[in-house]
Amino acid sequence: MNDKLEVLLLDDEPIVGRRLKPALEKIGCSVEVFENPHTALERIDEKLFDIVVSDIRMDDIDGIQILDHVIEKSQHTKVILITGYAMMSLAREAMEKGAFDFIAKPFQPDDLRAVIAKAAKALGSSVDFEQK
Amino acid sequence: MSIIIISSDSKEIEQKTASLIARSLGYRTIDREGIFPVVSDKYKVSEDELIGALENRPSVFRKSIRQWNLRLSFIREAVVEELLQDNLVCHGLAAHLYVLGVSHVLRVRVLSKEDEKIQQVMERSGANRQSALKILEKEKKFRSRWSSDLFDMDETDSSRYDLSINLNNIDLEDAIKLIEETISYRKFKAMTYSMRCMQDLALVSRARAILLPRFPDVRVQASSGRLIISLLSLKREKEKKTKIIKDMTGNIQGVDYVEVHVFNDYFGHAAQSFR
Repeated sequence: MNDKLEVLLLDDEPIVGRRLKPALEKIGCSVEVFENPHTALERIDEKLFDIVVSDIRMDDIDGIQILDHVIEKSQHTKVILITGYAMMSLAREAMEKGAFDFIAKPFQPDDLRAVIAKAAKALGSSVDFEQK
Repeated sequence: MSIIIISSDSKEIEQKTASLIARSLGYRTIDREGIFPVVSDKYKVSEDELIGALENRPSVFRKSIRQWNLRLSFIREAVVEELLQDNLVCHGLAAHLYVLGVSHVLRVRVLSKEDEKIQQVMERSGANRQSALKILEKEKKFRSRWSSDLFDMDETDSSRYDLSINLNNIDLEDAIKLIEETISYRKFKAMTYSMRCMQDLALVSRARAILLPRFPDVRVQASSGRLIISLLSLKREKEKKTKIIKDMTGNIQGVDYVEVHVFNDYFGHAAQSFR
């Protein structure tokens, strides 16, 4: 595994990508941002990401479908789901289907950074992303 | 990293199930023995009064209802504080009624064997089988009303739990295995969202324990460090009460912001204040 974590960030609200990309790059992630789930899925098919961060509620394709697709493609990738419509049943469904973590919006970039650091550790990264 | 809350129609079975599952999983047990001395010391309430709050209904007098609510809020505060940690089995503290909406908490209802319950009542009260059945039915109705009055949830309704096990059909040993298997599902693992839900519950419990002695009808909600407090008051006291509440709750651990809503709708508020 590289020192840099390869992260795909998918959210149909442009502000989310604009806000989180620099925050994650600051801790040593290489981040590709997508607003369209179809384009994101195409990219997931092309490249093996360490972490996929996806919104759940989007038009056409939802975050759970993204999760299913990623897991089918590779067990390596950790999927973190984010949503503004968090509910216990949805959280349980996401975890049961293999999500690494589930975060309710609104959250601070630091909250996501902490989860990314946890995912990096689970991936066996030698870099301590919590210290960055 | 998970929590199991056990509830049963028999105290003995509840205690036994909790203890067996805790031993088997290596989890810590949260029960009256551990919680009551802490609550008693912190809030200067006797352990008998705490037992009374969990097992009796108050008289119809307003003061009695307030005392009852207050003692339960103290118990709740201490329990939720413990539940911020992980790998725990909790029982005997009514936590199945107020720890709701947290995905890493598995709420289990264990129904004891009918014949054993009847036998216990017959030994306890000297009643015959027919009378013992009536006593059991009365006790069930009492628990149903107690939980509905206070938490708006009937604890005897098995559909309100994640897992319900009937010991008339399944041995206790197999029930333990079933609980072990269920808690191993990924859906019951803690995640960022569920931890935040538990922290919100802790904020609500801390704020209620502080506010209820002075504002018995207050209602409290929390969301990510934001406390939302609503109460009934005369218009002219709105400002004063808002300031007092903000002063009382602003320094609670984990609170970033306090929002106070004062209403004049006495009828609407009174209808819900008992909960």
